[in-house]
Amino acid sequence: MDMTDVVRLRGFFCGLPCAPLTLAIDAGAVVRAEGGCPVCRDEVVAASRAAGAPRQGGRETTFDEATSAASRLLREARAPFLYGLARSTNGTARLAARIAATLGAGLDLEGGDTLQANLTALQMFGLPSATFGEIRNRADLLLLWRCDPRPTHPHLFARRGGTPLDEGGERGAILVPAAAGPPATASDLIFPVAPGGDLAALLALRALLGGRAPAGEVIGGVTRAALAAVVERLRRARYAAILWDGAATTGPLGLAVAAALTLLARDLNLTGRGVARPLLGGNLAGAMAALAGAAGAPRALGFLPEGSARFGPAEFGASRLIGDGHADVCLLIGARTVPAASPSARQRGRRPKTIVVGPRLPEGLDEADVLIPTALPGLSAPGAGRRADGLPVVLGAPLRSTRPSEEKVLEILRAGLGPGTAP
Amino acid sequence: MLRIRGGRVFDPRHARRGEAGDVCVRDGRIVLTLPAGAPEIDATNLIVMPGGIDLHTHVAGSSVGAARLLCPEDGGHLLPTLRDTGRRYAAMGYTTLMEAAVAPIAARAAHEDLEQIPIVDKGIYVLLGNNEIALRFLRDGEPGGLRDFVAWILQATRAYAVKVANPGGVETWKQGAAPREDEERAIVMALARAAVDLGLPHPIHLHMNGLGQPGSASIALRTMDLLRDTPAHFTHLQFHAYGGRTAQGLRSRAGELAAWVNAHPRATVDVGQVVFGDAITLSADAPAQHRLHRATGRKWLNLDVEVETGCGIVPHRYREDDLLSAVQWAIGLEIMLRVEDPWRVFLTTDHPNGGAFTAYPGLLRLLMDKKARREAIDRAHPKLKERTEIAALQREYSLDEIAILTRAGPARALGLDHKGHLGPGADADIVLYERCSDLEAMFARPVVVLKQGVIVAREGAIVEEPEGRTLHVVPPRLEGQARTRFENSLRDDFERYYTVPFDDYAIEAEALRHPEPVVARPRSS
Repeated sequence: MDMTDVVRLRGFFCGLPCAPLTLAIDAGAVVRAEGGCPVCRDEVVAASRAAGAPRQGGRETTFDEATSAASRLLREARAPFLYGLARSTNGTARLAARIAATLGAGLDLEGGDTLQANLTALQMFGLPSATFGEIRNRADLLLLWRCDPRPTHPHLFARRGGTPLDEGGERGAILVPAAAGPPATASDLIFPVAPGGDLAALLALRALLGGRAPAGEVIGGVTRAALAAVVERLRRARYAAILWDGAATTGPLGLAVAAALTLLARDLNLTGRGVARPLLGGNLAGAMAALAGAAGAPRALGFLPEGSARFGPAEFGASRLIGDGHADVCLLIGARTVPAASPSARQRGRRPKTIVVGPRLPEGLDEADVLIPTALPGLSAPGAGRRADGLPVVLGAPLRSTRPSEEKVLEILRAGLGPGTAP
Repeated sequence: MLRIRGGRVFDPRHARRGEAGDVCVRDGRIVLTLPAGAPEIDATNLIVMPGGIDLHTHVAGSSVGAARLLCPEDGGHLLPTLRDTGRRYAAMGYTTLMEAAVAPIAARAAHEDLEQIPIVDKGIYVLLGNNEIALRFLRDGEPGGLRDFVAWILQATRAYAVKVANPGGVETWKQGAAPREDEERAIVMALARAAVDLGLPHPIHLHMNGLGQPGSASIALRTMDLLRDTPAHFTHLQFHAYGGRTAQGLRSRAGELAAWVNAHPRATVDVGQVVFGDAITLSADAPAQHRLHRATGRKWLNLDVEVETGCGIVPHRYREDDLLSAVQWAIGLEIMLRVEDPWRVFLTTDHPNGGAFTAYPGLLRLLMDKKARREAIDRAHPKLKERTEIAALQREYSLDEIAILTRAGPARALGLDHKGHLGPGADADIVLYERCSDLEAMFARPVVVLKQGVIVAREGAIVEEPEGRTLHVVPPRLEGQARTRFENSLRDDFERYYTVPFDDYAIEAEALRHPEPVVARPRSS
């Protein structure tokens, strides 16, 4: 193998402050990635393997023809829908909002449906939280609920880092194991909540923390003694951090679990300090901020013909507009997967036309009506993003690419739509 | 080129108090004369003022973004989209604003947001009162190091001024420790001194300890006395002018604070006026926000920001029939009516903490019309008159004083020599009002608003959306080996304590689309 180059960057695809990645480059493609975390490594390698030429109707075509065809499809769409953006730049999200406003389209983020439980909990109760550096520096106890980012991000979670005013030290961890998570660290307190027992266990923890006795000897699959041990650790903590990921808050009880995790963290601030954070991947935080700043809401937007937008998770979410087949043209921007069609949509034979603008074809899609391959933000396209904790990230482009950026393609598509109501 | 002919010109800096005259514009600036035949706006009988300046608002950055996620029920009233923010300010004649609380680590996000706000010029204040590296310089007795750090961080974040919010108190809250009053005082004095030594155009912008607590006036007066000989801006003074021992017993001590301001000509203040209705309180003063959440039971979003600061957000409602809200409302007005020199007191609502900035026209009416004020007092909680002296105040602001309060004064306090006036060289940010008996309507819907000579609004409707500029200070910096040594030591701190790489922290000059640097003038020069 003829290695021609080595580049270093910090991956932002995991949403966390990731360790540096070192990439071996051959003929412009990433052939090996070291460092970082598995999510970031996989992203850069997969993007390099993707097809590089634009396609239309199953055949290679030119970039100009592909963008013209995409603009035409969008102009002629009856119910257009824009989807993806979770690994795109903030600028791409803003441009997508402008296109959606011009078209009077729906718009949603990839992962938005999973995110919604946490978003609703936030909107109901708020959230005491902290940036990752604050958790690294201060937290003397981690409660890891169905997730464990320590093996993939040891520099962040292994040991309390301390602050400029304070030395670091040891920290404890309570682990609620995920169904297929990594093995626990020897010093962890394992809290073996049964599958489906999350809400009951969390409510019991809150009750015990508040000095109330929950009913039952085994709650959520754990004994009262185990519950009491966890509560004791939480009480002793000066600064406890609760982390979870999307898997913990999916399913019918997802919202209730998200709310209970939020309220548990809030309770901890009655006696000490407690912070909590769902772990969002990619640039979901940046896309949400960009959409909220541009259109007033972070996801599931329905734009009216005059350009204003409404927030409607049920009406403008991807599961309805793609899954149930209510959209007739989908512009997929930086999407990695596409929601599967529901049985009724399949029965009705509803399949939206698809325009893919992104570094690779999303999983679940064998062929797009129009495919416009792009550079990968953070590897070969620059821009701005945000980590899951909201802090800004500079997305560099250490690898040169012949592909255009997503932003560039969207600018061309927008220009191809003609004058609209959006600025 | 444009001549605004025959208007009643209010330009306090040049002692123009409503006499008829022309204002001439060329290339976005005010000029003395124009050739005959230059295009004209006939402003006969119209009031002509410089564009308004809001020197303390919260409209951009991570905390405002978080508030948008937290409060969808707002529906864009207090948290409009970024585009609508600029449009609403411009539509009522405001052409410059300052985002008043940005964690330095999040400055990129704030600038990114601000660049989406059209029309107005803008800048950011960065939070340093709980920055642990700054505190370490202080504890180690290194005022020179602190000064160099302040200069470095202002440059790195392309900020305009130093904001100090609950000095030391956020850090001790994060630690779960009790407040350390000695340290709080030392922080205030050291940062105020650093700002003076660096020759910053705006002194420290100080949100004092004790915000919102009964008895906060005592803390405020002690803090203000520390700075009796040092330039300082005391922000949202209303929230610091409380007497009484409990929320139920809250009473006004606005008179004492106003008297202090009257006696100390170096001090400036803004009011943080409360407006009856919904508000969204958001502040770097995270412990104060936690207290508010505990007191009201409203939802609470908090973000501890590594090394630097905190942030808390709690929605709130100020009710006319609630005594506590009414006292807060009256205290703000009292401060504006009791501070004698309009060059040193400025109208703000600490948007969106006290209410929306779009309430300014109604508040100006209350300052100018004691009958309207009397009616508002009579609508509020009846015990208001026992807890404040608002009912006894007869002062009515003149238009000249309004032009100072909202234009000339903030420009001077910010050290913006090219704003807030209509003399040659000034930005051609100009507002034309039609005098009418409904003062609120007059201020809400100017006849014409110009931004750098371009007509951007007519009769309250936006007609152009030019991009505004980013005002940032250029402080004196270390050079050569001294700078290398200093940055290397900071680099070590970043590797140990931050999760943001040092090389990504500083914002490069080209990252700002329309930068407008303002060079600091240190004392030695």
